[in-house]
Amino acid sequence: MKTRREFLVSTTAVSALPMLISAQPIGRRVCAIGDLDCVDGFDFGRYFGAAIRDPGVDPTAFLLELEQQLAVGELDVIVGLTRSSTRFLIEQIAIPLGYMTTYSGEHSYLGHHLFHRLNGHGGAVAQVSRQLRGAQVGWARELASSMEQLTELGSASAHSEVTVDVSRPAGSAGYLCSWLLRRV
Amino acid sequence: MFRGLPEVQATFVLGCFAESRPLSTERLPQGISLEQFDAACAELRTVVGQQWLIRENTVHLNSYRDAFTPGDIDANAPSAAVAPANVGEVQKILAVARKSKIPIWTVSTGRNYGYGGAAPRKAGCIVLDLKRMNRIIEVNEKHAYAVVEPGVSFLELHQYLQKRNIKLWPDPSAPAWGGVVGNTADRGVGYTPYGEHFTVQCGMQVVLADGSVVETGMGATANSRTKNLYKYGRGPWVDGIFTQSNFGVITQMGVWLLPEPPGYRPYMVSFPREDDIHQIIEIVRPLKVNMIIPNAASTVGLIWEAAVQATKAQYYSGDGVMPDSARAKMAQDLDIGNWNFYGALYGPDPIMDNNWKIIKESFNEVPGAKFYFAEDRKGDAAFDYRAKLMRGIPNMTEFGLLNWLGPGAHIDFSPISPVSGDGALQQFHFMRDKCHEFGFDYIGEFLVGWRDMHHILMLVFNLGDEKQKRAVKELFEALVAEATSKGYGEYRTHLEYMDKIASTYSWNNGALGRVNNAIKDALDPEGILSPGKSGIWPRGQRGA
Repeated sequence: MKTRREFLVSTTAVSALPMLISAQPIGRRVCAIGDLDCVDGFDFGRYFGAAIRDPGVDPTAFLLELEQQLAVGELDVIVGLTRSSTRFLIEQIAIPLGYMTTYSGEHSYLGHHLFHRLNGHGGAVAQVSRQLRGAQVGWARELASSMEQLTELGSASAHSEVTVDVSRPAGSAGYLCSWLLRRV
Repeated sequence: MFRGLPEVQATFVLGCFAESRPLSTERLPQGISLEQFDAACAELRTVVGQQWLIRENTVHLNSYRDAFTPGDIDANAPSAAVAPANVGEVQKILAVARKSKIPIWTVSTGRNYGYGGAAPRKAGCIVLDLKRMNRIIEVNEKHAYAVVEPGVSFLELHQYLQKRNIKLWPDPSAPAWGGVVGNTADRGVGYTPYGEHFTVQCGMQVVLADGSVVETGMGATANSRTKNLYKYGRGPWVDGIFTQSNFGVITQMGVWLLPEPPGYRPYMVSFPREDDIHQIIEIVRPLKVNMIIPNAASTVGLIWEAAVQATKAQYYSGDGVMPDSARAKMAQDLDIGNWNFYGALYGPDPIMDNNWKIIKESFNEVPGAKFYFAEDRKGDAAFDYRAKLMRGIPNMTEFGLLNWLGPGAHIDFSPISPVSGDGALQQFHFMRDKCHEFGFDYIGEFLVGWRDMHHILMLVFNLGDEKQKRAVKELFEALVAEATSKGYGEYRTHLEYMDKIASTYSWNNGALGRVNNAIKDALDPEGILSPGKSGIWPRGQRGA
């Protein structure tokens, strides 16, 4: 399993957060979260560079810090590609502080296939689906790059399922969720 | 989570995102019109303020549902939630409840996942969320106790002690955000020598359904100096009736804290075979009864041990139960056994050294036993979180078990087992076999107490798989039936099964149930407090 130290040493990506920030129709402060000990989470994190935050195996301290930030309104959007337990815990913190899940996705390997199931507002889901369809092994970075589109507000909900021929790589947890929480 | 903020429970329903849902008539309290409900809510707003009556914000209100239910998530949906700041507001809320005949459902931090979380037993209740009552009223280092309100989590208590360099340890539940009062009132368990939480409770303040405030035990004497030192007071000791019940709202509780010992060494012993559980428990019993093993030690099954840091998909991609070959590979990769016993040594070095000698010699009788201290398990997340818990340090690592199946949820089946090899083996066999029959892995552990073991079976299922959700419900029913037939009762249970488990306590034609009903009728004749908790219903709703 990769460690955060390995991640920081290996990444050469310039933080993409300014791109996200500039595209925001509302709010400007974004936090990206990834479970970096999973190879797919690692790839997601590489897109954001050193700005990615990893809750760790014991997320207690991370959750405390995040809660304090959310309570004072420091963040408008939280995006993540994580295990389901991480998503669950973060939602527990964020929802009573006025945040809402506006996008969620499941990404699971079975045999030689990778299944993506996406839900969210508006046409963004359709566009992300198109990117993931062609992504194969690099899907986590494609997802990261497309998170900007997921932050756009829309009224219609959309659901999409994409299947690609990719086997689970060594070091992958096999199942991850992507999600976006927005302050409402 | 941690600081007196409104309670949260995400509607973690895959395939949907949180949405506003209109208040349907089904979610109103039974027999109450929308106009009556509006009027009651208006009164509650005057008590707690607009912000702390959660109704219109349905995204937030949805967080008071059972995120892990394998059933219909609407079946236990509240109509509203109200969060008081103090005892006075609690009394006023109960007055509104009595007047409007709207029942309330009390939660402290509402993190009782696996047993229902913050959701009420009966749809339409107003959740009484005590999270804002989060004062640590007193910590007495000399006599080693704390007095806390219901909104205080184990983590908050731990941080309070650490910040002030108070040499006392709390005994936390596995997730750090569990409430001290709530967990103790549900008779939860921990991992230090104070692991039997209700045993170390001392003194309680309770608001009754009629609004009266009662101090129990020595707290009932004027200007009491021993309220949190002697449990029983004089006359009938009533504290127990307010646990796992709906007879009153606990608003303060005293808990004894473990003085920091001069030394602490956590250890793990792994055993290679499933049926080793017989010999393990026969060895543990005298060590525990004689307090050579002083803490609430755990004998953890293979998958529970592994699932903190591995997923099923990493070892087996097929359907159903993980085959033995995959289990063996996982055990080898992670250097763990089919059983993994976690204990700790406490005290000065000579005592720890002596006790370790006895413990090691004892467990060495099991062929293939391997012994580990912290330095042998560096980087092992499972060892690390257990070592923290046995040392009174709350953490959240155990949530990683949910990742075993991806979008995981769990409900827990928790029979009490004797501290005997025969009892443990019998329970393990039938529970494992039943799990396998329904396509689930056995994910369990035995926690040893003073004279019993809590056998916790974590039924992890895929929250997005309707077939699995149906299967886990059927499995639970089957487990209850078999446990009952073999003379084992559960010590705690999920909302959906509270009536069923209550019915298994049937000796002498349900005599205990009649006692509970009599107390309920006396203390809460209008039935406004947590109807259905532990299968105890108000008079007009029994047998419904």
